[in-house]
This record gives sequence, C-alpha cells and structure tokens, in this order.
Amino acid sequence: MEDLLNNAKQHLCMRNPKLIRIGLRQVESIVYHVAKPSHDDKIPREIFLKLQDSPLYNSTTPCIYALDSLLEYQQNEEAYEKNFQFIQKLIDDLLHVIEGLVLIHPKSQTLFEDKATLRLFIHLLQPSQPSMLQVAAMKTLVCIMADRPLAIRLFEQINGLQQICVVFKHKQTSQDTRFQILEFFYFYLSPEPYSIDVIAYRKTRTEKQAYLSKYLSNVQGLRDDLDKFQPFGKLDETFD
Amino acid sequence: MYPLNANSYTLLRKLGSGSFGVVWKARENVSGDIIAIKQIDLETGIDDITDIEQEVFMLSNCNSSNVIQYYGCFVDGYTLWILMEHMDGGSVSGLLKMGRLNEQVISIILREVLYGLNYLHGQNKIHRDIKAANILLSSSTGNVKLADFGVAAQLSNAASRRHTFVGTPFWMAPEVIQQTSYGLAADIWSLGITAIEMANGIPPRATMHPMRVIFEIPQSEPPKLDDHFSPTFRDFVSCCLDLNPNMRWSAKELLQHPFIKSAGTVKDIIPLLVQKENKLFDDSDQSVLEETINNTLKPFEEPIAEGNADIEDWTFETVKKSDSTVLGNTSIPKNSIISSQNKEELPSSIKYLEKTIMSDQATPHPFSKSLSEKGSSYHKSLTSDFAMKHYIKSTIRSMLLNDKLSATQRSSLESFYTSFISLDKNLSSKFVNQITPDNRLHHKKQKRSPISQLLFSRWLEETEKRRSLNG
Repeated sequence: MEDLLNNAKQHLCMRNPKLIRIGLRQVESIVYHVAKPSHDDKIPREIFLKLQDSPLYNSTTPCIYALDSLLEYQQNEEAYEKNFQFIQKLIDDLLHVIEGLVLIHPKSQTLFEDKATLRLFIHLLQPSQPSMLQVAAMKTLVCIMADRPLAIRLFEQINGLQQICVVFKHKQTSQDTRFQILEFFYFYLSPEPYSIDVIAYRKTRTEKQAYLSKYLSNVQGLRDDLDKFQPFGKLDETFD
Repeated sequence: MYPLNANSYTLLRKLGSGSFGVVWKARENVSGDIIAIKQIDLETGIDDITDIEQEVFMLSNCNSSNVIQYYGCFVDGYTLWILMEHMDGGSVSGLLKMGRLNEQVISIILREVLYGLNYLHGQNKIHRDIKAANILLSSSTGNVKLADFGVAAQLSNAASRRHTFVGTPFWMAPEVIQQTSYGLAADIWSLGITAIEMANGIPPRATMHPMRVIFEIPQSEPPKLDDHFSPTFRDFVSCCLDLNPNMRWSAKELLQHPFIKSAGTVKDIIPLLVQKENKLFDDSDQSVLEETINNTLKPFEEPIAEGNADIEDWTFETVKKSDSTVLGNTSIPKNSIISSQNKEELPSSIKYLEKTIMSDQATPHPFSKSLSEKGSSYHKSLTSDFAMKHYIKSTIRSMLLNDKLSATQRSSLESFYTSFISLDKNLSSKFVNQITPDNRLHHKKQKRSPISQLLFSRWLEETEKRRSLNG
C-alpha cells in the first residue's frame, strides 16, 4: 500500500491534468476499498489510517496540491477552453475524493484549517463557475468543516460566508446550487461540538445566526426549518 | 373604492404572518368597514411596483363569490399595503387544528374552491398557491373563498425564494418543481394535495425535509388516500394527482365528479365554525389555568428564603471551624432525591449543602410534591442554581475572614460579593456555569457527530454510483 500511495502522490503533484487523473484514480480506488463496509479483513483499513497519520503518506495533502494546480489551469483560458469538460469533471471527482479522505481520516481535516487552502473554495464559489463545481465545493466544505469550528471561523474571516450568500442570491445561480447552499446553511446553523480542543473557536447558534444575518435575510426562517425538520437528525444543543 | 393611504386605516389584529408578509384585520376609518390588509416589506429589493399596481387593479376586477375581493394597493414608506376582503371564519388550515375534516365537509369546500378555480382559469389566471391555509371561510354564511393568489402570493414567494429558497413544496406540482413551463393544471395538483391535507390533517410528506420533498415529488408515484376513505373521494384525488398535467381533470370537469356533485350546502359548514370559536374560548380558559399553576410555584421561594439565613449561619460557622473532614466525609443518604448523575457532576461541598437542604425538617411538603409533579429537571435546575450560588457566597465570606487580607483586597472582595448578589437568577446561573469545570470537556475519545456519520454514508452511496458510471 505504501508504494501505491507514493505513486499516487507523485502523479497528483505533477501539475499535469492527465497525470493528476491517474493519481486520483489510484487514491480513489484505495479509499473506496478501505471505506466500504466489509466482513473481511479490517487490517488494510488500519494500515491505511496509520499511513494517513504520516505526512509522508497522507493523501489529502497531494489532493489539495492537485486542486490548486487545476484551478490555476482553469485560469489559462486558451488551454482550458480545449479541455474544459475534462477539467471540470476532474475537479468534481477530486473534491469527491477529498470528502472521502477527511470523513475516513478526520485528522486530515486539520489540513483545511488554513486560510490559503480555504481560499481555493472561494475560487470555486464564483457565480461564473459551473453549477457542478459549485455544488461539489459546497458538499466538500461541509465535510471538511464538520466537527471543526476553527475551519469555520477561518472561512468566515476570509469572507467565505459572504461569498456563499452572493452566489445564493445571484440571478444565474442554478437550483441545484441553491439547494446545496441551503444544506450548508443548515449545517452552519447547527450546534458546534464542545470539547477542550475547540472551545476557544466555538460559536453558539445564536452568534452564527447573527453573523449570517449580516449577509442574508430571514435567517430565523432557516433556523426554524432546521429545528422543525432536523435534516441532520436531532441536534445536541446542550452547550448553546 | 377605498382610499389609498395608510392614515385611513386602523390596524386591529394580526391575522397571520409569513416570511415577508403580515396580514392584519383592519378598519377603514370613514366607513367603518372591516377589511384585511397585507403588508409586504419592500426593503427586500423590489424596485418598481408599477407591475404590482397593475396586477392588483386586474385582481380588483375579479368578480366571483368564491374568490377574495382585492381593493387596491399603495406604498407607505418601505411597505406595500394590499387591501383585501376580510373573512371572519379564518382559514381551512385553522379549522384543521381542531382535527381532521369529514368527507361531507371536504366535498363542500372542494366544490366551492373549484367554482373559484373555474372562474380564475376561465380568465387564464393561475392561483399558484392552493392549500388549506389559503382557503378562507365566512362564519356567518359558510361561504368559501380562495385567497392569497396572484400578486400577493407571487410577491411573497418571490421575496422569500430570492433570499432563502425556503418555501412550502408540499403542494407543488411536479412540473412546477422541475421548472418546466406550467399552466392551469398546476393548481389542480395542489387542489388534490389540499384534499389529502383536509382528510389527513397534513399534506403528504409533511414530516419530510422540504429539500427532499422537492426531489421526491417529480420522481415518485402520486400520493393516494388510503382505503379508509370512500371510493368516490379516492377517485377524485386520483383525478387531480396525475404526474402528467395533461391527464389531470380540469376544474370544470371536476365539478362534474360524483364526489363533488353529492356535496351539501355551504351552510353545513357553519356549525363547525361555531365549534371552532368555542374551542378558542376553551383554549383561553386553559391559559388561565396555566397561570394558576405558575402562581402556585411562587410561595416556595419564601420558605427557602426564610431558611436561607439559618443555612448561611450554620455553614458559616462550619467553615469558620475549618472542619474540612466533615465536608469530605459526608455521604449521601440512600433515600436522597439527588440523582446519581448529580452526584457525579457536583463538587462534594455542593453535595453536602444539598444534603443539608433536603434533610432539613423545615422543608415544606408542597416543595417535594411539586418536584414529583415537575420531574427531576426542575429539581436539578432549582437546587443546583441555589446551591452553586450559595457556595460562591460562602466561599467569599470565608475569604473575608482572613485577617491577613489587606484593606484594598478586602474592599475589592466586598465589592465583588455585592455585585454577585445583585445579579439576577439567569445571569448568576450563567456566570456560575461558565466558571465551573466541566468533565465533558475532557472526553478522551470524542465521538463523531451525527452530521459526520450522515455525510459519510452519503459519500459512500455516491461513490458507488460514480464507480458504476465510470466502470
């Protein structure tokens, strides 16, 4: 497994979309087999998680690097125009794999507690981006922020919430994107975990509601819907 | 017909409110006429109301006994006022709060709504928001009228949707959700859903998240009424709820449906509305009863306050003696009403104080009785707050006994004590909670939140879908 992870890492760091795709397929294959419910051997999963703890073998790091290079490639209008469908699909797949990596290996979420990394999502959340990528970005944001108040605070600091509201209200924004943003709002307005590690960065639901209300009307309506329909199940509001 | 300025009206009572609109019962000051006024906040970004004025003018020309009359509109500051007919019986939605409706009543309401729809559709107007909440009743005549259609609904929905996209999808037709071009048949779907709403008390999928509802409606089989209802009623609903708009019956056709043709007169609805008003009166009595219950809790504060001096003095003396072994060695009696959870959470000195409070023979019986009635949460809240506050007081007092304290420090401590005493119950409770060490902060193995677990299972599902596409 070490060799495969290393090989994937090398491909992902090549700054060449076709090689990135090869590397991504390699990571995706490993992650899927490790993640799927199995009655068989649990050892590969344990090995994978141990390797992910190591900076040398962590897979999320090269994926972030690949995301950065693909977004840079997207800025090159001439090259991008020829391959834009391929690039868009690749970014979408990459974001999906990143979701899996952080959900399986929560420590990898800490890699996103960084403004420069979070800004990659601001790039994806422009009204001019295709809906497919906007949706993928919103999904991935929820995954990297789940249980991580610091990532949420940093995203606020780079005006991420404001940007999401801009996209939400933009006339050209598709219904798919709006639904996904709506789910993000429900996530954002949910209670944050309460532990010694994150208490310094924690905000209550009321505080977040007030913050979001700066950019969005009727946040109380969202809050009421969240409480009534419980899209994430029953919420633990003990500490809010 | 009615003046178009705010000063001409007196707002009497709020009838209802949505995301961006409030509806008032109001009186026109000159004639004394009672009307309904819908107020919509224009700060949400609607720039020009010329179109709105034109449409309200068109609505003013609606002349059907089954459609609410619109009288006009104007802007007052940043608020759009829309003047409408008032219906004193409230909405069918309000009626449903008393319980489900029987088929006889449902058939009457549906017929009257169909008359209104037939009229609107004859003028090529789509209502767009048919549901029980938008069907209004007259308690004197039993008349049934459609409300909140055309500009009033579109404006509210547009304003709401523009910002939050939180709407009410339960009554939406599949083609509306898919945003294909839709027409009069969308109202027929909503009417079918409303029929189910009246029969069951809630629309189909009411307990499902609206986002999921929006995805499910176009993909699922149309909802049905179950076998408890008559075959003609079930057939009526099926005629409304076809996924293909072209296959749905029109309002005109539905008026000929056997379920509708056998409906009774609107006067049959009046007794229900009388019951509804009586129910409201009963509810008022209930609220008075609740106040009585609340009042009975107040006397308990005095006995505690009376006992407070004794408790303080006693504890004061104990601390003065510096007899720490007593605090440390005290055990909780087996018959103590302090729960095991409390034992784990509270510092030992607090347990000691609570034991004292609970074992005091002077504790009045009504207090214990009240605890059993209200449950342990009330007990925990009251005794914990009281004990914690008392603990802080006694701590400060014991510090003041220190002879080595400098004059400055003593003065500061006295000021702190005075300030703390002056905090109200809520604030002192919050303060104490914030400074109390919390064991739950230090869980070594933090369980993943339900959100993460949900996200993971969804990710896995989507991964399998992608792999099958790529493979």
